Amino acid sequence: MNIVVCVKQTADIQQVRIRKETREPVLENVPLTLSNLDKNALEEAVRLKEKHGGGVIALSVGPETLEETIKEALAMGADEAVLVTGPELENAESALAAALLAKAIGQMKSWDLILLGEGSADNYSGQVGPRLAELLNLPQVTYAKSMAVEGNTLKALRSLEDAFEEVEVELPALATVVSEINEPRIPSVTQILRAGKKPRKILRPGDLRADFKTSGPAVETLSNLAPVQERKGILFREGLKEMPGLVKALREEGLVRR
Amino acid sequence: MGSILIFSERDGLAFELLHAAQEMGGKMGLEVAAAVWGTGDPQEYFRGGAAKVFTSDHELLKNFEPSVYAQALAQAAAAAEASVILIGSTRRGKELAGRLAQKLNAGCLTDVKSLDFKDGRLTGLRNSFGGAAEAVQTVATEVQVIAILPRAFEPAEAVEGTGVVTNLDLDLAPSRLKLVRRSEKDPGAADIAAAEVLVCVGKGLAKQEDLKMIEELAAALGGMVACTKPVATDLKWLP
Repeated sequence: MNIVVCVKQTADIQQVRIRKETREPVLENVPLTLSNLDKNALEEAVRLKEKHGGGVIALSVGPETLEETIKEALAMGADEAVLVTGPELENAESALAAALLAKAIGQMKSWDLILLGEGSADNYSGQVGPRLAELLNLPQVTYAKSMAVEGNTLKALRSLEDAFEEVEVELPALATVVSEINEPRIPSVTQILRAGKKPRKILRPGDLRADFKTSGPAVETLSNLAPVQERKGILFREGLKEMPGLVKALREEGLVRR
Repeated sequence: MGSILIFSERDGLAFELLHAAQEMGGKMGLEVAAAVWGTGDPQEYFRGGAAKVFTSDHELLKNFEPSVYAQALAQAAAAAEASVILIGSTRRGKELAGRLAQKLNAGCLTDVKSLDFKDGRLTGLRNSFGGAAEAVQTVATEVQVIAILPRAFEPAEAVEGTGVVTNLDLDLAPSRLKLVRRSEKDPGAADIAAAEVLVCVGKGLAKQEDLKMIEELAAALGGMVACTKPVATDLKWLP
C-alpha cells in the first residue's frame, strides 16, 4: 500500500514570541518545522507501512527552505519526498496549496491513501484536506483518532465534538488525523543521517502546468496581531490560604454571583 | 438580488448564523437565505430573519456526508444567487466548508470569531499561531465561504416575518464513505458551554496535583474546571 502524506512547513509556534510594542508575532530566528498534526499523519502512515508494506511519500508545498525541513519527515520513516517549491509559495494559502498538492499527486504513479493533519499549526483553517479530496474526487475521512486497513478498506474512528463515528471506505481515500491518534516518533541519529540520502524530487509550480487564476490569492490576511489582553494582574501568592480572598475578588468583579 | 446563504447541521447554530447574516446582509445589500436539510421548520427561519428557505427531502441528505452536503449546498447557493455562504464552524461544518469552497472555486475562512464589513470588504477575525495572535482575513473571490464559531453571535431574535420556501430538486452523487456506527462521546461529560462559571487553567499550573486546588475553587464558586488545549492534549491532565 502506498501512502502520500501531505505536510506543511511552519514556524515552530511554541517558540513564536510577541513583540510587545507592536503586538506582532516575531518570526525571525524561529526554527522551521513540520506542522505538529502532520507529524501525527506521518507517524500513522509509517505504522501502516510497517504493518502492510508499501511506501510512504512525504509531499509538501512551500518556499525553498522546505528542502531542509523535509528531512524531519524522511527521518521519521518516509521513503521519499516530493516538494513543490518556490519563493512565491511562502505562506501559500489553502486554495493554492491544495491545487498544487492535487497536481503533484496527479503525477504520481500509484497511491492508495492520502493523509494529512486536520489543520496546520500556524493558520489552522483545516481546509486543505477537504479541498484536496474535492479536487481528486475522493471520499474524505476527517478527524480520525484511529485507523486500520483491512484488505482494500480503510476503517477509521472519527472524533467529532459530541460523538464518535466509525466509518469505512474502499481505497483510494483521503483522511485527516487528530493529535490523539498517536505519539509521533523521535528519529534516532542514524535515521536522521540516513534521511539525507533518501530521494527528494523538487518541482516548481510551473512544472505542474497548474492553471491558476492570476487574480491573486483567494484569502488575504490584512493584519495578524496578538489580542489586547485586559488582565487585572492581581496575584495571590500564598496558595490555598488565599482562596477566600480570591473568591471575594471574583465576587467583587461581578464574575460570580453566589 | 444576491444573497447571503446560511447552513448549519445544528439548528441552534443556524439561528446564530441567521443573526450574523442579518447584520452583514443589511450592510452588504444582500438578502438572507437559509438551506434547511434537517427537520427544521422554515417558518422559524423566517422569524429568524430569512427571506428565502431552501429545503430538500433527498434521501442522501439524511446523513451528514461532506461531499454530498457540499453538492447540495453548491446547488442551493446557485438557486439563492448567494455571494456569501455562512456555515457553522463545527468539525462537520469545517470539513464541509473546505469541500464546498473548492467546488465553488471560492476562498474560505474557518473558525471565525467575528465579522466586520468595512470599505466594501467583509472581514473575519480568527486565531492564528495557536491563539498567540488574531488574524483579520478577507476572502477575495467572487463567492466567499465563511465558517463561524458557535457562540460568536447571539441567536437571531424572533421577528414577524415570512418568506418563500423552495423545495430543491437536487442532483446528488452518493459517496463511497459508509457510516458504520455513531456513538455519543461520554454522555456524562461536562458541557462547559452550559456552565455559568468556569475556572480555566493553563500551563501555568506547576503540577498535576495542583488541579485539586483548582477543583476546590471551582466547587466553591459553583462552577466547572476547564483547561487550555496543552493541558488536555499534551499533559493529559484533564479529559
